[in-house]
Amino acid sequence: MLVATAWAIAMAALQPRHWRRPTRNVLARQILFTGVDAIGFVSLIAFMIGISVVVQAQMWTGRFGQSALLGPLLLTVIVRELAPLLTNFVIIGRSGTAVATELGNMKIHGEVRLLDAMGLDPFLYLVLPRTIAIAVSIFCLTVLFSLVALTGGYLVGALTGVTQATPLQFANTVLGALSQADVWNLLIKTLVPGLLTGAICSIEGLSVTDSVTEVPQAATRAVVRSTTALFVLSALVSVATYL
Amino acid sequence: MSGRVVRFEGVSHPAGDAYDLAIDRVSFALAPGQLASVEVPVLQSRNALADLACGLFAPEEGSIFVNDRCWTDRGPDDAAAMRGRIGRVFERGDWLQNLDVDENITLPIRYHHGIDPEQALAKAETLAQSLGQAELFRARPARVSRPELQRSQWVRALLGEPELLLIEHPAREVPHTWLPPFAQAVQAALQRGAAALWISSDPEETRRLGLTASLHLNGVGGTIRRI
Repeated sequence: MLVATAWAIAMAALQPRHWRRPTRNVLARQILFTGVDAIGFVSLIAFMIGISVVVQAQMWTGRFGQSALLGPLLLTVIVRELAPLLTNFVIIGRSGTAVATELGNMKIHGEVRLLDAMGLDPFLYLVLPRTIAIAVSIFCLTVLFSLVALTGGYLVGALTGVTQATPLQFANTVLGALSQADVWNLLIKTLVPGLLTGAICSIEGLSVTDSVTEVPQAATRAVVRSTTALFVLSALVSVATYL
Repeated sequence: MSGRVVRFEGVSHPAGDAYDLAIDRVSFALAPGQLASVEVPVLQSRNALADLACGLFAPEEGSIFVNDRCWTDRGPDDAAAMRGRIGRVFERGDWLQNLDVDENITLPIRYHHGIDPEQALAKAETLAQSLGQAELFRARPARVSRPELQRSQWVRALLGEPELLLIEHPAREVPHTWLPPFAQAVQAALQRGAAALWISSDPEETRRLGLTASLHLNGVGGTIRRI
């Protein structure tokens, strides 16, 4: 049911008639909350990760005379794995719980039934824009994460003297290791988990029936299921892309 | 406009967790301009009539037609579009809590008819003033008083010239002096060709407001039947 829901969302998103102005307004608000409002937090985590990973990578590859491996190493660790994984984590914890909670409360208080009665399909008005906003935000924030981590790590390395490379040399080292597979990897590890997270959190939120005490339970289930899906997908994509 | 706006054929539906009243083999039809009044008990008023009339689910027995098409014959998009032409005053006074009251009111016509937000607001303001409300509330529903929320429900129900009006307990929590303009607006809608289902615990309410009911349903005794 999860894959079917995610697929239905993706297909519905491709049809312009489903994006009426009120739905577009919901999408804009959701991108603001899920994406824009998370920039600071994601940047902070990225910077910290950059310091830990980039500086250490620079130090150890330099120590063993393997500076040529720096670019591929950083690409593998940060761009291919850490950036999508950690960004997804942040969004699941921050926005996934919010979506499940919000929809759960709407269900309990009769707002979903109200939308139905007014002729607004809850799937198109509630689920679709939230899920697309999550997927798009994860992609954009992952790119941001990668840039901040690499840039921040380089800057700290340069300031502490760990690296002697110029910014251009460092950039060329990383970009030189980038391949088409990495682009596909990035797209799949951001958009697909985003769709799944949106679908899972929406399904869990809308599954509540009688009591407000079900809402936090639904939010917890949403986080666990989204995280599980993320890890499984991440491992599968990594294996499929690079082996 | 079709011959019959809404038609119930042999509709039965049990009471249960969500509803206090069962519906027992109810059959009726409302042509354009007709109003049906439904009397329900004060303390056991929850019933499925309005939910069934707007096709939210199928009855246990029987069929319900709107504009001569059964709800079960409509696809999801068609059903949603039809519900966009139904105005409803909800018994529970339902609102979307994450929108202001004015956004709530104009949401259906903005969604179904693609009307510009400013234009929709202007129409809603005009209608609200005709119902005695000085202006629309640009605040979350939780911050608006219950009488004004009820009157805002009237605005939402009548906005967009609906073909079918489902009016559940419109007089709840409002002063009696507020009701005549609403009754006049309902009368105007009927004259325009709409049909209306008026559900209330006061059997004389429609008559007192100058509205003539073409048929009556009664739910006193636990089951809604046609009189």
